[in-house]
Amino acid sequence: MKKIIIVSLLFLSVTAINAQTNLIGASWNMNFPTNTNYLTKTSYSGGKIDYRHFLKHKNISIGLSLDWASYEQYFPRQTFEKPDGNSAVNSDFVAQVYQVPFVATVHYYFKESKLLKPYAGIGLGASYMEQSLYYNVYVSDEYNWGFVARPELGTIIKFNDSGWGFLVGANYSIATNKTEAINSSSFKSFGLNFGFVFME
Amino acid sequence: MKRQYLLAFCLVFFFACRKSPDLGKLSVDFIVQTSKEPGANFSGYKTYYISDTIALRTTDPNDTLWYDNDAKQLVAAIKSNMNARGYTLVQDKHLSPDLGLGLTAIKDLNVGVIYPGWWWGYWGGCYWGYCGYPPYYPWYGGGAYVYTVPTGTMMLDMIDLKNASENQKLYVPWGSVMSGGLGYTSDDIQLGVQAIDQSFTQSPYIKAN
Repeated sequence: MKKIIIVSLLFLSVTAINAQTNLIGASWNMNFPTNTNYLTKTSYSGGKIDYRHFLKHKNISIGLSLDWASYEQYFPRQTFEKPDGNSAVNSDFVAQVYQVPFVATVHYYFKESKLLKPYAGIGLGASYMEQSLYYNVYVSDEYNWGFVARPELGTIIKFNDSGWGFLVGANYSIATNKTEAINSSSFKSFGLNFGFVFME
Repeated sequence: MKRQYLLAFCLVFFFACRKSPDLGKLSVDFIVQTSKEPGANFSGYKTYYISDTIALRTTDPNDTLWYDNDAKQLVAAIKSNMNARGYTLVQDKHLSPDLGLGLTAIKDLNVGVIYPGWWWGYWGGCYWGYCGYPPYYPWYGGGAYVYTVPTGTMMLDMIDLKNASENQKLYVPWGSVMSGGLGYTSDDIQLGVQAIDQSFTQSPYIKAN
């Protein structure tokens, strides 16, 4: 996983140096899972590295975004029954999900003021997911890849003419990562991100 | 710009660390997995037999039976649940019980995965004294059984003896795999009793009437 991250970042760096109008940002992510029958606990452990290249004479940027989120939730003892009624499992467990979406982004920028640069956009790409269920003294793991679509909304708050600014954003992420244990084929979350950006 | 990329690198490395889970809330109670043969009719059986000893599998080949007071407590829990569901215990296996129940404990050993059609107990010899039946190959018919059986596990199997001759097999209409810290904690026998009770609680279809 680390290799992928490093290679991605190198790619970002090289592109950024060659381009004239770029944005690079790092944010802290809060994620609110909206999976009704599985993880629902808010994750405060998340981050995002954002690179955007502004197209000349257009209010549009294209870019890449690498995210990271770690979810964890304790489920009290309960019985899970298979739909056919023939098997049942009773246990409590801790579910942990580690999600790394890597998406290509397109953003449209609304009318810019001296202070704000609001935008709306979408990210499409791949989502790597590690899922672990810890119960009693055992653990079962599941690793998989899925497709992710993520509409985004936010604004850049410019400090001054230095190129630095704040980034405040919101997104809704729909990933097709499967969770065999609960027979689920998607992982959805609402996210908020706060960070710094640098534009040149 | 260099400073910004350096900052970004540092953040990525920070973010790339997966958190260690907080397992403080996790209980030591057994995980209880039960399976029944699809279409099994439990009211077709009225009597059962269970040995007062428990089959034991450890790394020591001489450990084959477990018969102390702890073992008796576990067997008593099974009898109590079966009686409560309307079944009658027969004192001797030669009195043609409809069902044979067998309890096995696995310690310090990982058995691996059980696949449908392969009976974990079929390790040769007489199991729980059901020696009259070995020509019939024990068999889980339902295909519902795919388990990893780790150390510290108890397995309870219900075997159809009533129709063994007709079926030419020892069908297992119901089984429970209870995984936990058997043999690791001082209160594990109590946890084992609770796990047996839970096996029946989550299998309300087991009733003689």
